[in-house]
Amino acid sequence: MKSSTLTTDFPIVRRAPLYFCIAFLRPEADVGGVAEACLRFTPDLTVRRGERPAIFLEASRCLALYTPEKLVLRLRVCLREWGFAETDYRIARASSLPRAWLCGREGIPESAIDAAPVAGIGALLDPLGENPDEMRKVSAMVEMLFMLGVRRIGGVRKLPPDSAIARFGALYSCLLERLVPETVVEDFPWARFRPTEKFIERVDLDPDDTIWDLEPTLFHAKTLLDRVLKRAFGRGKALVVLELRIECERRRNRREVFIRVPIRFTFPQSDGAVVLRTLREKLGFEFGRRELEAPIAALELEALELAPRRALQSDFVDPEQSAEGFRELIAELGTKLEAEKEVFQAELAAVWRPERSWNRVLKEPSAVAAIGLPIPERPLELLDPPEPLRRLGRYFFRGELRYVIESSSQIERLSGEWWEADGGFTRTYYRVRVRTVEDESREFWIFREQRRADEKGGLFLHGIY
Amino acid sequence: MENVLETPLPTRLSVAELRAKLGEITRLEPRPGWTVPEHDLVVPRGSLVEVLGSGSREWLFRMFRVHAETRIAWIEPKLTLFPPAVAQRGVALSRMLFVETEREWNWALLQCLRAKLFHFAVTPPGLVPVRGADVFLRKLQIQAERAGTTLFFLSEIDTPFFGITHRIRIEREAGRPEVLKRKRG
Repeated sequence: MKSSTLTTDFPIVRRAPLYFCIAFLRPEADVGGVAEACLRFTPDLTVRRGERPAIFLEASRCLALYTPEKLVLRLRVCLREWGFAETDYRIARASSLPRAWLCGREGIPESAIDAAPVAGIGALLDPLGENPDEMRKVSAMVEMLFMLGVRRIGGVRKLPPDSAIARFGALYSCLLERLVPETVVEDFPWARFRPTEKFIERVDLDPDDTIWDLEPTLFHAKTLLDRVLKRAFGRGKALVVLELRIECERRRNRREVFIRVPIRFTFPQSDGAVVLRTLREKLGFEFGRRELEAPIAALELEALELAPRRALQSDFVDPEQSAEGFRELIAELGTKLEAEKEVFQAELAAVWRPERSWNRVLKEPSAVAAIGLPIPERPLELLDPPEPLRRLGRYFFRGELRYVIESSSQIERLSGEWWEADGGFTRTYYRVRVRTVEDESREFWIFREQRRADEKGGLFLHGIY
Repeated sequence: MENVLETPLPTRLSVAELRAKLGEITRLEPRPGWTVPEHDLVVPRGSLVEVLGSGSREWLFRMFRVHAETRIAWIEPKLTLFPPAVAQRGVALSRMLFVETEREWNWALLQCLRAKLFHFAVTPPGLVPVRGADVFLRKLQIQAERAGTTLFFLSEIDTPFFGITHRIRIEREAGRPEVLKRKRG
């Protein structure tokens, strides 16, 4: 019988990993821009931040385009464009990311790793600098190795494995794996560097169109808005924060941003009409507040923050998403806990009193719809019931705890439910930044309750941002 | 002190032999994780992660928002999370199941993990039994690993538990997470 083999026009060649490390010698080096530029060479790229910043490129897949030497030259050109002199960085190459970092940090070729000082094992064990806890153990290990007479990294491999493993545990075995170049084991995950996406639309106006007023500005802004919304929609995103910038030519040939209109939406928005209404309101306020000093020269609209559209977010009833499993879990939890009281989903309600602005439900969750009340940002932690606060000068006292008041913002007045037996509520909310005695910063959501004339109001802590 | 270098060296072991000696070394291999945008940090799936600091809730919801396909279980003895604020952070409430119980907290937590429905579960560590904490956390870890659920302990202060695989501090002012502990395995 004739056997058939699968052939392809393009043979798949699996190459051994090849890492390049750009180790920056200036601690304050801003490496974000360079990292973004390096994406032209390979998408497999990660960044080490902190005091010893570095960029790592896994370049095995781009060797068909560049030889390693050419890649280094191109990296140098790229770094020069960002203002880095050759004394500001080192470029090293190695077969794994930890080895590349060690070579870059010490300025040695990969073949000389064994001769590097034993203190360099920290670079092998935590190349991305994410694990200070482990570094303490590494320091202890280095001290111990010194006591054992090991001065060079190569000496680590000569230790009797049984006693070394017994003494240093997983750290030693991990170190050994990283010291043997021929067995390249990727033994830690690293996150691919992804530059932040920018959604900016801009229109430069014809100098003959002298625009001074709200309506023509909105006319042009709407075109930009439609584009931004369509781009966001295509990515499955909705707007959370938007900024409109209006540029004027106050001096000859020199444009300046004259008005900035940032808009934060209560809930992520993808409806153009709603966004335009809010934009009109905000822009109208800005135009009423101050007059333009020159006609508008350009408009720029940027989506500063986006969120996935609700329709694209997961829920429990999708047949492909374990609806059956969800029902089973509810049944299981229901054997000991009370459904809708102890096991529930949340549904927003059109009620102004914050603690009653949502309900506990347990139904087909697709019906758990968000309600679009225009409210400022709420804290993620709510205290129910609110806790009384005492204020003394620039201090708040919450029981025994003392907080220093730093600043306050976002004043909001809520009232209603006058038909209730308690006469309803009238509260003025403040968002207050405070500092604890341990010098930690917090943001409180507090309110002052105003009661009827015969009753005593007070100050309450209602939430923590 | 005896210098180990003076003792006769055994024949050099290959990595495969070392691997066999250690047995559990496969645990060091990478585990897929959740990336956190802007921070170049990978939070592993199926592990126990403690988050501390005044910015921890905001950070968690930033991550939930990015991973829009995920489902979340929020388990507390007394609910402190404010659902309208969750919707404001761009996380659909339809993705979340809340369990509010004190008496059956550990049972409910294990049930949520066993259901293999959730990508994330969040709970405070206050009810972890002090005696036998490691056994209990090991149980949680096994269930979390099987389900691929990342269990976040929302703490006010560092817990002394050994079984926590990651400990991350996020202060509101700094905004960037600081990894205090990252245990392999």
